[in-house]
Amino acid sequence: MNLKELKEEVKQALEDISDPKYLESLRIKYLGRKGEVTQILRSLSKKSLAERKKVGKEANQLKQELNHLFNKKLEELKMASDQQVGLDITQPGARVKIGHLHPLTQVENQIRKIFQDLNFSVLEGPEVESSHNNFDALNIPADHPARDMWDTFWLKDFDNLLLRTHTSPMQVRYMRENKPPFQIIVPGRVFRYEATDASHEINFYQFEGLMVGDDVSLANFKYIVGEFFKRFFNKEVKIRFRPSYFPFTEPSVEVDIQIPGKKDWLEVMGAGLVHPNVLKAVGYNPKHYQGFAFGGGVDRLAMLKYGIDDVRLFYSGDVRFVQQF
Amino acid sequence: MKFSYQVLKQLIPKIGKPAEVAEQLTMHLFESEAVDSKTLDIEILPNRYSDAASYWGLAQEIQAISGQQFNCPAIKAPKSAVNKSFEVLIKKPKLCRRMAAQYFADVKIGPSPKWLKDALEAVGQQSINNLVDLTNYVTLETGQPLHVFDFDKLEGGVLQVRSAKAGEKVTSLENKTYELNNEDLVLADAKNALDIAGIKGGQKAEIDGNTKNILLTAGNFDGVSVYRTSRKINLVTDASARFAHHISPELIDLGVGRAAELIKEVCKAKVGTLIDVYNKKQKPVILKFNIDKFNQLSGLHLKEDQALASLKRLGFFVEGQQVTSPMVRTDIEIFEDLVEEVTRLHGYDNLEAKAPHLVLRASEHEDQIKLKEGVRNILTGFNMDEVYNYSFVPEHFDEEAPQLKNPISNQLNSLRSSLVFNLDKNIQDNLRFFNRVAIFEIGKTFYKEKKTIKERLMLGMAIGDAKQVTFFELKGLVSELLSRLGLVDYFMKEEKPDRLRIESEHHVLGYVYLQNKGQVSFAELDLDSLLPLLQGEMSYTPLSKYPTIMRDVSLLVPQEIRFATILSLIQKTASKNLQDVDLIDFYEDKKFSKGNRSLTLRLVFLARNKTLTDKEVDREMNKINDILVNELGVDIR
Repeated sequence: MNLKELKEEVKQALEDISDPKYLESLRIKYLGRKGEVTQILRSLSKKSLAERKKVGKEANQLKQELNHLFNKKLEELKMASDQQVGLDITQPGARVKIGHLHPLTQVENQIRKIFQDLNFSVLEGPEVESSHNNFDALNIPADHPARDMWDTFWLKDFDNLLLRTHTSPMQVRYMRENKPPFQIIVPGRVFRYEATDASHEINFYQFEGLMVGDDVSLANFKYIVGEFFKRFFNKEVKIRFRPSYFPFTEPSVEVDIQIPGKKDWLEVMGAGLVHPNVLKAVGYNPKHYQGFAFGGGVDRLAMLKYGIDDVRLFYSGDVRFVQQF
Repeated sequence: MKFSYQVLKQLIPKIGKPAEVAEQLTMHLFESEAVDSKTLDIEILPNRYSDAASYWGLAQEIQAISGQQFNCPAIKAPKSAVNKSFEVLIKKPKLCRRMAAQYFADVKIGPSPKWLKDALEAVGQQSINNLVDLTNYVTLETGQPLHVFDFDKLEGGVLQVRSAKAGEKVTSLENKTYELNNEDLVLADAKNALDIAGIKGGQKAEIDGNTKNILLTAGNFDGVSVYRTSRKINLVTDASARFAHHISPELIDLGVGRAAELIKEVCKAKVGTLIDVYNKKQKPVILKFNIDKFNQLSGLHLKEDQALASLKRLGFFVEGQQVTSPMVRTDIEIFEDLVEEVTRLHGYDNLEAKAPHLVLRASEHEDQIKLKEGVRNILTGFNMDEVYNYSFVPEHFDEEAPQLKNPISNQLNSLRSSLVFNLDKNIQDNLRFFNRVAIFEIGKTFYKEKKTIKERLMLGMAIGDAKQVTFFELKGLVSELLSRLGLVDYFMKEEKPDRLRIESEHHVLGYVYLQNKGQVSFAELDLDSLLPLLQGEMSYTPLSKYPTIMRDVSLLVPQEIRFATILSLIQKTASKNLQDVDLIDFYEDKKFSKGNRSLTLRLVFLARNKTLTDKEVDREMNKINDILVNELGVDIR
């Protein structure tokens, strides 16, 4: 058999093979120590120099070629077998280990983002406040039942200090330092001295909004609050105002929303036009400036958004709860 | 506050069904609910007790809202038929603006007629007798609290409004005794206190089965005084709630006139002398109505006559642009109050949303808020979960921390001076469900400074593991966090064997420390101090064209030698080609002599300008090894 015939024979044999075991025996048959190509190379010692040169070169070339063919076949067989019995790609993907933001953070982030899109600036304020900023400057009289709307934690040894009962003192702080026009949003922790239950906590989060200018009206507030809730729930949420009373706004309203598909109106915000007494308390002339203020509960919105029925879960430190968000 | 639907229906014959009335009131006045077919529950707002916490006040509103006719009973105060001599004295005119008292003779006390019983039962009040029921009913009708005394029990024919004496006692109709002092106001006869003014009637001149002649009284007491006394003795009554909300002294005309009429009719009494002491007469509030200003504030587009018509419906007297508010409307003080009246009556549903015009200026986020957001994003990326805890901790956690005057419980009587107390608790709680817990919290902590209380924005981090040491993991996370936030220059100093102090530019930024042999570890960082130190910008170092060479070296280190010492010695000794030193393995073995431990370090070498040869690196390694052996007495293994 000449080399050319040998090559064809091997090629043919390779084509028929489908099991790597046979591939190996075939390799031994041709390329092993006693294999046919090896035999040819060995037999060369008995040949003339010229023949040795010619056949030797060809045989070596053949050996290389065959090696290449065997390797290629081996790869093919491997790939085929992988596809047959290998990875079960329907197994679950590897779990990504990543931490979870607290739901109140997520809701606050969303609130900040929406108001930033509406051109509001965002700032925060202190949690320990003076009774002046928390009450007096907001037109909430001392020794009046109106003050009972805010059950207050007072600090020992500091007569006029309290834990702020709302974010509204930041209206006073901000307006004392800044001139209109402006629009701001102030998220933050507030405190109430009351028994806790599924809908009451001793600390919780609010966001305060304030927009003041030459002619900022209640109708403007209706636009802003409508845009906010539409974006927050990502739905056409219905809004309604109801009369209310807050000493630091006049007129005062409650804002109710109705989420599509739901029957009930939900009370979500208190609001109104900034009371002239508050404008005066911060050194503004109420003849020149007017605007609206509003306050909403971050916890309440988070509860509505995620269907949480107990506000105390937010402050439980329970990782099983946080990891759901 | 509960109101009888039937009583309202008598006043407004064409009134809607209870649910409709509740809806109208909710949208135009107060949040209201129809409890059943007989009773409405109406939440009177704090500024409307004077005029609207009554049937007549509500009927006025319903008429204005719905247009249904309110037949207000004209008060036909009966003429006095019996002359009786007695005195009414106001000793504290600042605390009592007006006091009226009327004598009635031959009062027939007995059961109440059905209409009266029904009216009271609908609002949850028990019928007592016709006289007491009438005073309660007239209070509901008019909004003026009333009280009757047995005239024959009054000493000296005197009714006086005076301060209580120190320690003076009043025993209530329910047989509870209250001790008062001179800050409290009482009604008294010539000798004794009869009741706590504006709050509660006493036993002294109580009506009983033998009562024949009575004194009907109606006062107007200072709201602040009533509020304080009521809080002090912890007694809130219907009357005290009304006075505390500053009701109008003009209500006395309605209350006394209406009660006289009914006492005459129902108790068949003879009407006697009326004494009315009214020291500082209430002045009407007159405001100018400016329709342009109204439209500018509300955003509505009403015409002047439309707006003024609304005010007229509410009982305001309008003359041109001058608007006089009804005397009972003590809430009306300024023009903006009129804006509310017109807008709510017109209906907030009719207010169209309008985008504000504004000058566009870039909106901003305070730096602290951006820092918090950055920290949160980094730490969740590190597989840490965020928790929120109370701002309150028990006093024993830190006795120096600010405390509450009125804590909700002993366990929550202090403000937190650190986030760690609660994080520690969180770790323990959560380890019941997980083998490993990694959490963080961002929040305010509090401390006293001089005469005030200061706040600090803190970040607390904690990792707990049921089995493994977490300290080094947390330490690594803190370092990576600081570098990602852009803190360039800082170091961690061993302050105590279990606590590292993080410092930068002479500021203490926080601590990393361990508990329970390092299975629970905590870090706390002062974000307020960190904020100004952050540089933020990263910068690029050109990539080296040359390969790095690594060498591992294992050291047997005596107990007292700290890693930090080894590291700084290596860094001092090595050339600038030493890029990095890593601790890649650490273990302790009983086979080692006491306290010794094995550390394997990986040193990475790189030159900026050439390929380092093995020889050069070996030379460097030898130098380092020699120094470590000679200066620190470690063994190279």
